[in-house]
Amino acid sequence: MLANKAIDNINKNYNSMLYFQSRFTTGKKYQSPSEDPVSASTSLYLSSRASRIQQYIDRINDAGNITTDTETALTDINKSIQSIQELVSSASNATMSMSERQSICNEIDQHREQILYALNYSSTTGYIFGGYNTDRPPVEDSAAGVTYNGENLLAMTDLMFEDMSSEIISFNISNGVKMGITMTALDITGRGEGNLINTIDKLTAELRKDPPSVSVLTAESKALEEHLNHVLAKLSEVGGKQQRLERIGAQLKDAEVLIEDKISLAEDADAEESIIKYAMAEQAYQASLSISGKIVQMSLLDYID
Amino acid sequence: MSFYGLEIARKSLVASQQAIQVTGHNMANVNTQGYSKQVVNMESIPPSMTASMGNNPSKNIGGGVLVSNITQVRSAFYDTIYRSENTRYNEMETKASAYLYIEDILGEGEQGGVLNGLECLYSAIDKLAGNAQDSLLREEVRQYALSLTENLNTTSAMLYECQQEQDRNVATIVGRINTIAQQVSDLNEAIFKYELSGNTANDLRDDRNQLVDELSGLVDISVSEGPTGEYGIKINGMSLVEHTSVNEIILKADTVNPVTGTVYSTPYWSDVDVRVNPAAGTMKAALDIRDGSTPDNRGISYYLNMLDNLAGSLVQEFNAINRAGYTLPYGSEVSESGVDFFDPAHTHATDIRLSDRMMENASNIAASSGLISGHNNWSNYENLQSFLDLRDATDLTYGGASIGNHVDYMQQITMDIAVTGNSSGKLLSTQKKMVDFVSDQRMSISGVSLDEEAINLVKYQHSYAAAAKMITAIDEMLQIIINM
Repeated sequence: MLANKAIDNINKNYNSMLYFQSRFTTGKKYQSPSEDPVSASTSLYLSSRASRIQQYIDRINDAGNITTDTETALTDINKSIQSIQELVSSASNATMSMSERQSICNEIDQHREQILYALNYSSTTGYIFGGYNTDRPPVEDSAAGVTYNGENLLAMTDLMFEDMSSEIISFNISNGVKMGITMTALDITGRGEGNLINTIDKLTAELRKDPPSVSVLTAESKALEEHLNHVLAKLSEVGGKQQRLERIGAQLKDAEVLIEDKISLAEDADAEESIIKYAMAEQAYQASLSISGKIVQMSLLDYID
Repeated sequence: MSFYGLEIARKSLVASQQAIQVTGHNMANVNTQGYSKQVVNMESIPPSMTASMGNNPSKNIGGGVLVSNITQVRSAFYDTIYRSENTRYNEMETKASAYLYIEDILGEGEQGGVLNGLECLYSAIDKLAGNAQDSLLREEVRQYALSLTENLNTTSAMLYECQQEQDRNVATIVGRINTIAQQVSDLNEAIFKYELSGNTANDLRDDRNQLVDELSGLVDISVSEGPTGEYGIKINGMSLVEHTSVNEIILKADTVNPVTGTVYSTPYWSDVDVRVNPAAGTMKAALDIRDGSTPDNRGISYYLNMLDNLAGSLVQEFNAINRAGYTLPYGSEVSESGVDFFDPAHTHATDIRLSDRMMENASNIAASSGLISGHNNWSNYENLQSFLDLRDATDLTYGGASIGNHVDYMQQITMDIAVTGNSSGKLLSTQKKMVDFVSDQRMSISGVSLDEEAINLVKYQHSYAAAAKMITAIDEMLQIIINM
């Protein structure tokens, strides 16, 4: 019976030693959730939040790419409109000859092409100004006129304009926060008689006349000025979005670090504590081995001869 | 009369010899499992009653010593307590290890787990929302959905296997119970016949007690020994062994698993058509683990039901959303609505799978809320938003079970088994202490102590030497008389 008790105690101490050893070598408080359901439950919930935050950070990166591309395209359009403005004002000079005005119109046409090109800007996700159409170039120019996603800009109704320009792709960038990232070409050009391309076309058409009407030129130049302001407003809108994305991204990164800390608190075993407890358990084990060894050897039979 | 003294000495020699032999028997069995130490009961022999009447003091001399019987030191009280604690201990041990195994199968939080699969799927859908027509992103969603179904299939298949293993376990246990019962009844007969002579069948009783101890681990038993020595074992009131007759337990295949149709066996009594209803023990543990399907009795069926609820709800919700949206055109297929995400005919965790269309092409993920053609709706992702809303839902139900949302539900399943396993582990270690304590008590009463036996050896050696000395003394006295 002594032997049995000795074996029991040795086993108990051995298991205790193993427990602390595994805590130290794995660095974790528990190997499976049933060892410590409370910590496991916290850790599970926190891991879920951490992976969500990681997803939001990824989305913000993707959104950032699109806004950068949008900014590039808008800046390009801005430059083109400014160039057109300068050309128009120089062509408005009454001393210009017909052929000189003609060559200026050709240059304006080049800038018009550049604007159409910028409106068809495509990035890694496809055409960014086409609303839900990321597959083919949204803006097409033909003899029949300029179309956006197949619909003629001049003939477009108000209702259709509302419909098509609402095709904005939004990203989930934080808990309950959805941000519209893209804008459609319609947002930039407008529709109907006063749309950007038509304004430019009217200007070149007038400049090609001999002589061009000053009142028409003035009116259309004013319209062009408004388009320029509109594009600048869109640029600052995009700038604002980028700043907001950066701020939310920084907040999320901070939250991520905090959650990682909390997870570590729930899961990780304190290294110093583990190794001290392990050393103590090892000592207890050795003591029980040595004493049991001495006890089981003693017997009365040794003393009776 | 002159040899009366020799007779007394002779009886003393014989008694001491027998006592030493019993001591030797005890020492030889110091390591025998289940052996109870035997003691020699000695009686003094009274003076002969046939002496003639009269006040003659010399007729009043006692006749020596006699070994009246050899009995074993055993406490029936501790035996009973040990057996009931042992029953509970074995039941908890079986359950605790089964719960550990189930927890491993459900595989929380690791890369291959269902929980991780769900989160990856939702994350891929969120990414797709940013560029709904990208074929690589679509393929990623499809792959995650596929591996989620495979994961559910594998997990529930492993649970079913575990269930079948418990079924086989029940059959093995029943076989063992019947064998032990038969052996006990044979021993009953042998012990009864032996004890007719008035002696105690010590070693046979030890054998029987060993068998009954093992039986107590399997089922909860109550033991009774009648006044004439008939030994009976009852399980929860129904008789298993009654003296030499055995009432065997048979297995009837009458429990059907509603989902797979597999038939499991239940133990029945062979004489009366009544289920064997153990209140504790390994057999009860195996039956509980196999069949338990309620929160009071969490067995494999309980967890399988939860997985089935999850699978069924996934099929139901995902299909409803996918059917409401429009697919991307591919090959000769045009954009259309009404396409299933998962196969609606397979709604259990064992057989959930992607629909045929989804297996064909990831363009069948209905991201768009409008028909896709020409310039329209290629990156329309409004229907995908409905999938994402599922991730934050709080009120999903399936077939009467309240799910909340899928990720929460799976977390619930994970924590459920963790808590169950944890509390069962704690109960087990407490129960082990109880069993160990009673076992120690038993051993201290019935166990052989070599030190005690060594002292007994010295004792009986001395009494033998004294008896031998007496013989020498009486022999010398007789020599004097004879040589006169």
